[in-house]
Amino acid sequence: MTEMKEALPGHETQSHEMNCPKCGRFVGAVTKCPYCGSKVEKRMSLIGLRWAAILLATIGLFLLFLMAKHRDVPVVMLGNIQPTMNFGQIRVIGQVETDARPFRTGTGMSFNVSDGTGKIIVFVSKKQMDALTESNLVPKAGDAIDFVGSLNISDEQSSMRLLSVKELHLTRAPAAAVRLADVTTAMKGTAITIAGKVLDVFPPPADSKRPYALKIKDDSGEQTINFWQAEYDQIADKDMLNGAWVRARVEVSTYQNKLQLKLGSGLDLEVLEEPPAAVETKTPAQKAAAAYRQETAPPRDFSRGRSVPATSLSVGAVTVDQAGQTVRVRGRVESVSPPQEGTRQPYAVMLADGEASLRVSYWSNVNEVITVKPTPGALFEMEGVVEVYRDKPQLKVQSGYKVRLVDDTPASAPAVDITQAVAVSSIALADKGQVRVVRGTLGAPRALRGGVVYPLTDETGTIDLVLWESIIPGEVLGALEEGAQIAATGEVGEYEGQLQLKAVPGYSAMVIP
Amino acid sequence: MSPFWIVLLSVSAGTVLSSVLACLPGLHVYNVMGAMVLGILALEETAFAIPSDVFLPAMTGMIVGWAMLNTIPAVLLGTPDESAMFTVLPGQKYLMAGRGFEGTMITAVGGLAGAFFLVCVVAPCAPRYLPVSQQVLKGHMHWVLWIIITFMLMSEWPKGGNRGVAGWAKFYDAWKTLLAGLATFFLAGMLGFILLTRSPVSHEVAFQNIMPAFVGLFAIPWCLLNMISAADVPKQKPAKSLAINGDVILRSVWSGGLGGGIAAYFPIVTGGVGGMLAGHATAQRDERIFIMGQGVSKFIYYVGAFMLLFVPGLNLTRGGGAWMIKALYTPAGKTDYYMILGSIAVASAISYLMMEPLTRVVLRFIDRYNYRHVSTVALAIIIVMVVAVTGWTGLFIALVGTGIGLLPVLFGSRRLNSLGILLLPIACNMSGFGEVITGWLGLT
Amino acid sequence: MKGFSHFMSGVAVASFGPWAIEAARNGNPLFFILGGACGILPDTIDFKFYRFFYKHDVYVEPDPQAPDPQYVADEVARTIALAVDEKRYIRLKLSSVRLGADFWQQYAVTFDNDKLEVAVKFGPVVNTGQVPVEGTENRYPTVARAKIKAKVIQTYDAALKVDIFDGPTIGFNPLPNGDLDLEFLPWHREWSHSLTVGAILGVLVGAVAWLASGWAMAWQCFVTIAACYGVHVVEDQLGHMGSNIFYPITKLRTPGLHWMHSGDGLPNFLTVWISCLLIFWNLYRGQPNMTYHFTFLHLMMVGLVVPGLAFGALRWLLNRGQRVEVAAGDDADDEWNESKAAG
Repeated sequence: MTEMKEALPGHETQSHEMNCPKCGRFVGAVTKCPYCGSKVEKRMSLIGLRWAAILLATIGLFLLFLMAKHRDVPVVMLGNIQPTMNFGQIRVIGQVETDARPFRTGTGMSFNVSDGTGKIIVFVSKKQMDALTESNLVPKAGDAIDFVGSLNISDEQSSMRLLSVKELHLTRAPAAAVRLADVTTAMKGTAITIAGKVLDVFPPPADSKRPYALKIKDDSGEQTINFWQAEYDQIADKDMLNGAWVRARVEVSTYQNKLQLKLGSGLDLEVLEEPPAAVETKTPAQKAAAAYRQETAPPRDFSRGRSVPATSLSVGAVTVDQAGQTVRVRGRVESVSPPQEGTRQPYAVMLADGEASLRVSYWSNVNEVITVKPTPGALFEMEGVVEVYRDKPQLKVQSGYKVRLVDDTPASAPAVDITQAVAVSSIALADKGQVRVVRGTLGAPRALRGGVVYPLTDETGTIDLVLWESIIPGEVLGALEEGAQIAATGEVGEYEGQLQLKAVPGYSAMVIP
Repeated sequence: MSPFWIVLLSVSAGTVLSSVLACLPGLHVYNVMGAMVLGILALEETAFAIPSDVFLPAMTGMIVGWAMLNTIPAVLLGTPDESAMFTVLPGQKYLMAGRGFEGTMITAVGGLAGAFFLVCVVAPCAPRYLPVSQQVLKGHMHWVLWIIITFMLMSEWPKGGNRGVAGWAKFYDAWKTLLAGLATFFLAGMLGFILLTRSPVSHEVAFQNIMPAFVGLFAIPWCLLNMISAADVPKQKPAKSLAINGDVILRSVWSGGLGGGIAAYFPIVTGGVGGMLAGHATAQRDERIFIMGQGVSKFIYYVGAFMLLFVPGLNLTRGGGAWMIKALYTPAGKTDYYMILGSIAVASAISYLMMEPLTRVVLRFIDRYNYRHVSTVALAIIIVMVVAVTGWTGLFIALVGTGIGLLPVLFGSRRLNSLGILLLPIACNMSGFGEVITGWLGLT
Repeated sequence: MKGFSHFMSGVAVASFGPWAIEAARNGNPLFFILGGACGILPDTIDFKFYRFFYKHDVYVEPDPQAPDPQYVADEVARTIALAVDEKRYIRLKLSSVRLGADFWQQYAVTFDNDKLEVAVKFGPVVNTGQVPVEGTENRYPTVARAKIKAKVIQTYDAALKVDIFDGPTIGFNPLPNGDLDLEFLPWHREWSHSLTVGAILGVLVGAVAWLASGWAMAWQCFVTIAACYGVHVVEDQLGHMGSNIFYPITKLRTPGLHWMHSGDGLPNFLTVWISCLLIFWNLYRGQPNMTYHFTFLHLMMVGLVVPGLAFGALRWLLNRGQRVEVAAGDDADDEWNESKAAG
């Protein structure tokens, strides 16, 4: 630029580094002169900045990526969400309140989640919806859920968007097994498990929006299960449905004021190899617990909160000396007294263990969070602070998460009534379908798909005792072994010409000491 | 006090405050509004709770004031160092020609014209026509972003390859700058994926998740380049007239209105992208129209996006300001809409009138103080702000963003490519395969 | 036409395919991306790839420190002599003269067939917006001349102005009568702006699509690519330079219809805007469960006619009694300059 008559606008205040040091021509930001090929030295600050840019943009980004990848998304209670958390990624552990509903446009779906401190609606994109459907993870009311999502907070309604299907963990709410005749419209909105033999499958007429109808029958009656093409396509072994024994998880609904059982996913229909065991009749405590189970998720993990002794105390072990301490107590519920209407009294539960009893109290907000509410006869474990009232210890429960059902089988009801035991040889084909009690010695077990068979021998003969895992508690199965003396209650059945006894659901086998 | 006076005083206060703050380099109005939102939330259930008819017009005034006056530092406090940078921005051309005053005032005229256009043309038509377009475009926003990305990447012009014989050397010389642009875009996109999926910023201040990255991509490089710049500011000659006429204003409104409107309406599209698209669409040659159009575009982008939240029947949230308001308040019908329009009109007038005196103040300031020192102070303020809101993690993110944001300036590509931080991840999410990509990356 | 106009035309053409709308509603943006990309692709091929490999016979590189018009004139004359003597196509590169990040020394080359001369003059310094820098108009008042061996036939008015970024290429093609046919930017639209090339590209991509996704995707890709690529060729035929429409079947560019200059503001804007309206209309037709309904005529009235009339009326009101000159584009180097200025 030295030959120019006058400097161009702004050039009078520019650095000489914009020109080639050898030929003087303008080169700008390049480091090699395009005219004479000489190197154009730049000042150190500029060189440093260029290198810093490259390093930060590459290595810095990589380090940031590693930082993000190994970061645990924090669990946040819905009640603690603040507007400043908008766009934040959080983990929510709670319970699905409503079945996931696909949008009419088919562009996704949504469901509501609550965790005891608040509620939120969660949106799922179409691709995520398809992935969840394929793996039978579409959230349903009552399911326990653990997922990561990003928050969208507005004054009106806050919502979350599911971030990843892989980070969604769903535990299905247990659907109580119900006999077909016992299904009523009073169960509307709940999920139940039914089993029986398929009488027929009626596809809808072509170009019709009507659903498939699967007629199913058990020993109590018949019902029809409805589902649409999408669910039908998901059913495994759909060609073998007719005449097969099936078990299905269905939602009880109504259509035009009539009972309708809807299959939510084809993966919820299971074709059985064997006819299913009969559904047992429940005690009041069991019915109450089962009813709550249909609505709520299984009991939660107790590991949150302050640490307490791993083992729980018996009722009699709680004393006034422990005042102020946090303890965990196990006992049977004798009585439950809710607060009188219009008052601010707490709930009062009497826990008993043999001769000892302990008063447990908690407020209404604690009660709201309790998954399975205490009912008389049920064995419960509760954690709280020991207080002294009129020189007697009582337990004050501060968190509903610390109230856990242990066993809903009434202590007074023996598992097996040995007095009713009959000789094995007295059981005949004519007794098929009836319940008998037997006692004897177990032989070598044979594994079944979903169960185990023990030959049971008494003085008069041997009969196969079939125990299905789905209806016999694990602790019962665990107590049985070859050589054990047991008593068992079972339904007389036949398999390949041989008589057998199918243990009835529940604590229907016990070791005789 | 009657609602009229409350609104009038609130909007005036907000406008004056942001007009002064707009002269500070590197500070974005959304950062200040973010701090205000925190304050409003903190006071919410106390005796000092701020009612909506105070904070709504005040925030409107803030956005208008900033949209109008942030031209001042952008034009007057940034001297292009031709030994370091490949391109000179249009506003900088005016500064280097000693016409910085003229450049800022022309932009301000554009802003005022934009205000007229927004309040008198767009606002009456918006409730009638925007819901229609919303319904038609429902489900199609994703590919709109994709074609914007496609055009952005395909339309960049090689800066080199102008000399020498044909062959691979010439091709590489040309493509060096384009490759820098592509690298910027994809690195920024990667940064966006990280921040939108697994942001290291604490969830408690997640509403400012992206702020450190944007500060790093745009504000910090600007400060750094000023600090090391070897160029000085030429003597400025404040002009007595702007040599513009109605035709120039009309064509600027046409060009800038289109760009700002695209940016305001479509999600994630910012003013820079909208301006690029409109510039290509309207093919204006006159530099005055270009500069003025930028003023129009900027105004319509920031203020128009904010206004969309209040359009009755639309329920559209665009821009950081609207997102912040949405956390505090849900607009309810025409009353709120008219209040906002009135606030925009008043704030536009106040901020325009403040333009000339503030420009002269800043000109005197840069005459007296070295702009490098000013940029150093601005950088310090920015760093303090980032650390205060998002902690050291946020500062690290800002540093990474700085590296990426420096690439286009130092290696000859468009700064627009840095917008890949939002464009790429959000386009992928909208199309439904964002989770596939984050799965590959191990972020989900 | 400007790149963005071509791009939006491509997107608009793509929107006419129902499969594109359906795919978009299902989250697949492929066809719209293909449409826009193919709409702009012919120019991308030329300006961002081919021109760097196009060999020249003569390079004219004026010295920025001492621009010498006589040197330029002599080199041009030498090039012409080469073409005449060797009776072959000769390619001349006129390099730009950069003076700053935003400054370029402009110079003009003019052929005078009556005097058999080429005249070169260095004009003002211009910025990247091609606006002259005040006070630089008369830096180099000298007009240099050199005798040329043959007449140079230009099929359109072309004052060869060299200013920003890359300088133009001129091709001299000897004619049977001894004259030389001047081709501006011979590498541009030499083969890239061809309907057959678009179809071939469509077939290639379609084949890949067929392997990946089956027959339906294959033909949809083919139709989209061929149509959107083709619309660029059609639009360019409205200008002056024209294209080699059926390369490799045809060998030379077919001159354009001269209906517009490629840099004209109004035609470009109308192309973009009408493309947007057509896209909007196609999306509307493909959107189920619309609660709003309108006709095509209604859309055009609201979106184009009424605002256009309002703008025109306002412009007339503002410009009444004034003489407003809008810079007109040069015919031949128009698109060249527009493309560069868009960078």
